[in-house]
Amino acid sequence: MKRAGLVVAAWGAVLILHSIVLFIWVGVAYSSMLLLASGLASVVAGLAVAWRASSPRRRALADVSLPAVLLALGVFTASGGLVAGRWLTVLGAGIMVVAAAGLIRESLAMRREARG
Amino acid sequence: MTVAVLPGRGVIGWAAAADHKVVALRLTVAAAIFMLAGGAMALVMRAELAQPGLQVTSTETYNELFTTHGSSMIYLVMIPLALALGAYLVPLQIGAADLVAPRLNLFASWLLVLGGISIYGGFLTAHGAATAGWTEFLPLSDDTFSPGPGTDMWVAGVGLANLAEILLAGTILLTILTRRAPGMTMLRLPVFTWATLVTCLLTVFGFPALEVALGLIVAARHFGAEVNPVAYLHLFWFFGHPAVYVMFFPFLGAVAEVVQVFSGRRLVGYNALVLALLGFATGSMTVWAHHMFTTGQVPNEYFAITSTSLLVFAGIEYFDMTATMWRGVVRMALPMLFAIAFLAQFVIGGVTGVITASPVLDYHLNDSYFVVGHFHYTLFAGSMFALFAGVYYWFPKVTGRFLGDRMGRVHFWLLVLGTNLTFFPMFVLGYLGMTRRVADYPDQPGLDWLNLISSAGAAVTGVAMLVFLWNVLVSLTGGEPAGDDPWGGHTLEWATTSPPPRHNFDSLPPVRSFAPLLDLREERTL
Amino acid sequence: MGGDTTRGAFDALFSAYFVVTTAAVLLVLVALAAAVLRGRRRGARRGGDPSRLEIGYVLLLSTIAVALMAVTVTTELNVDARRPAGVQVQVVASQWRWTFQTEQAGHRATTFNRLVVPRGTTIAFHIRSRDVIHSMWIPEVRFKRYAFPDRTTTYDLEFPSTGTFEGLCAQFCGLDHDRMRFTVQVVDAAGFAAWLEAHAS
Repeated sequence: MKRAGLVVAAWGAVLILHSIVLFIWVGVAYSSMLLLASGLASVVAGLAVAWRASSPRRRALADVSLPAVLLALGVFTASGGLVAGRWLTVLGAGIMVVAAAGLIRESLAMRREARG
Repeated sequence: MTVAVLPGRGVIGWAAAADHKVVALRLTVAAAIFMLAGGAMALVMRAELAQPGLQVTSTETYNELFTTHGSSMIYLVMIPLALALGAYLVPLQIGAADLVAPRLNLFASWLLVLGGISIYGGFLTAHGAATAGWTEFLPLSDDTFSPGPGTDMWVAGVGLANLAEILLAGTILLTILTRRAPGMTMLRLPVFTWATLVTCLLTVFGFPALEVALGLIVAARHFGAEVNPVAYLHLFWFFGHPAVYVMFFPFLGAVAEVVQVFSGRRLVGYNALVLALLGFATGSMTVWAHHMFTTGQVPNEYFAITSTSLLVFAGIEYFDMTATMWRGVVRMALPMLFAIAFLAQFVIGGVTGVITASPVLDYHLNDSYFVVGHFHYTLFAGSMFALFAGVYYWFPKVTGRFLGDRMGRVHFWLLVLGTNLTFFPMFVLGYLGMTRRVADYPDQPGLDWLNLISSAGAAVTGVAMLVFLWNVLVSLTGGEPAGDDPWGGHTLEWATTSPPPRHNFDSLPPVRSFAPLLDLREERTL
Repeated sequence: MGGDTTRGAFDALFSAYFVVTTAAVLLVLVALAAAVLRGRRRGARRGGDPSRLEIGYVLLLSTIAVALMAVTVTTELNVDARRPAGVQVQVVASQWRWTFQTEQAGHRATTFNRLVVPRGTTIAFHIRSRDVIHSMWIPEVRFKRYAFPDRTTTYDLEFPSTGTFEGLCAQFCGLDHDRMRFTVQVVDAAGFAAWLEAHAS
């Protein structure tokens, strides 16, 4: 289970190798930096997944989550500030806070349920 | 071990359901609606281009249409469908009860739909929708050259949709890495799941560059920033090239599953194919500046070499699938028809890509209709056909009913005719000197009748798609019932009911290879 | 590969690529047809390890890829190489017209949407934009280059045939992008010198 993360890390390592070739070719440039950044991120993510021990614990499966939908609406509203002005972004942020509270309440309920 | 809580009912239940299957179906319905809208726009564009002169639209409207057509098909249709296929099938194929973080996927699915609404909302504004293409290069997309909120709504919409896609790909990737059934090692993953894995790698580690590029547009439009146009190009294409492979790999994976099942044998060369997928994916991340050959600002030789090398990985995939058919007994069921058409047509898109991977050839062909033909062959004649192979194959699993066979064959043959009529003339048009993103073109020999043929093809394609839509609507209620495993499948999704229950499996068969059900069947006949 | 001109290089390279790609497509179609028909006549075959065939196939593909890379890179280095030029053209792209400043031996002429050049000699182009990204495409010589607002890009072109040819903008640049066209008049050396003297400012 843990070793699967190494696939991602290996993939990232190949990207880093490619970026080294680019660094030799063009030096420090947008292209070489982009590829290096992507490769590093993949290696770190892959190692992180491989490191964490898998925990076959009881999990609660959320069937329905209204706060998650509300959070999406909040982000959407906030993005409308780009067109309508800062007030809409603030409103959206407010909706997101309410949604986040709902999500936390759900998480606590699910944890209680899973503990049985 | 999972426990279902917080059950919901009715429309609210369906809209707020976190079950990966419902998440995937919502995304699919949304993508289908955006595809109808984007497809209608394409038909209007082709009606305009059928003859030289402006007959159908104004130039301004045409520019809105091609921008929204491209933006829809990429951000709102093909990428979402690619991820939706994985979201639905990966937990089933690996024997899991759901994806990792179901509420995050629920959130992402709505974020994507709302992003699409934002993009389309531009049409309702005084200045109209965005008009600088699905690419929206700076400085054209800044507030001086693209005034009005339409472009801002495009930026916000794409930003949301892209974020949603990154999140969903992240959870699918984590699910593959951490939630496989006992016995399912990485080298026993079904081919479709491997294809989805590399898709998610490209999305998670390539798509964030687009968020940064969009941030540059916001900085230019709202904070007066002077953005280096070449920096924008690098960021955009660093996302944009992996994006086209995200719109390819899952559908290739679907074809691989269909080819195995309808050849009656497991894949020939599984290990080679897995290595080819991983190699192809790393390659996909290193080729992006072939979109910038004509800028004179990038090392053309490096990107020409990396781009050309991709043909080796594609060739391995073709070899393995052809060998599987060769060594099996081919059943020409509908999914297989579409799979074979995919293989036959995609290669045309592929080789025209190898042509444009050569800078000197690209100096002429870049930004011409040759490229438009190339990417429509890979994405429509290729990926879209592969998607249909997957849809005809998995529709019985999702709904418990078959899609109509006779109507499906009408759909297939109309689509083959329409697709090739529409897109093949484009190679010639580009070679002759017709550039892209033009509402009108000069009345020159060759340009007129080739455009007319292409537009006729588009009409046929439109009819084919309507036939398919009708088939879906009719089959949802009246289609022939299908059981758990109507095709003789190899992988775990066929070891549960059609459709599967909330928690996917009541029990799992033993997993000893990438084709566990085929193993069981072969054991029984020994 | 091909002549020293962009047109010659493109035509030669495209012919080679056309042959290779057409052969590849035909091979794939034949292989698919054979694979479909074969299985329907016999029963399913099991066993037999195709890995040696696959390895040979991969080596063959890689050789083709390397050959394509070699011919692509050498052609590109040749085309992009700078050569001494007697004629200099400053190109300014703007929404939505082309401004050309043509110079030879101290004479300089400015034209709009019309480029006059001599046949058969290297001409140095210096291109930039006044506003957004444009792209100067002359299909006759199989070449295009982006025009950026923040930098000047230089490249050489040679026009092997006299005549009047099309030029157009190949990078979407706003409302009248599709009308941003120009004509290219290629004349012989004497005719060009005469034209330049007559139009010089």
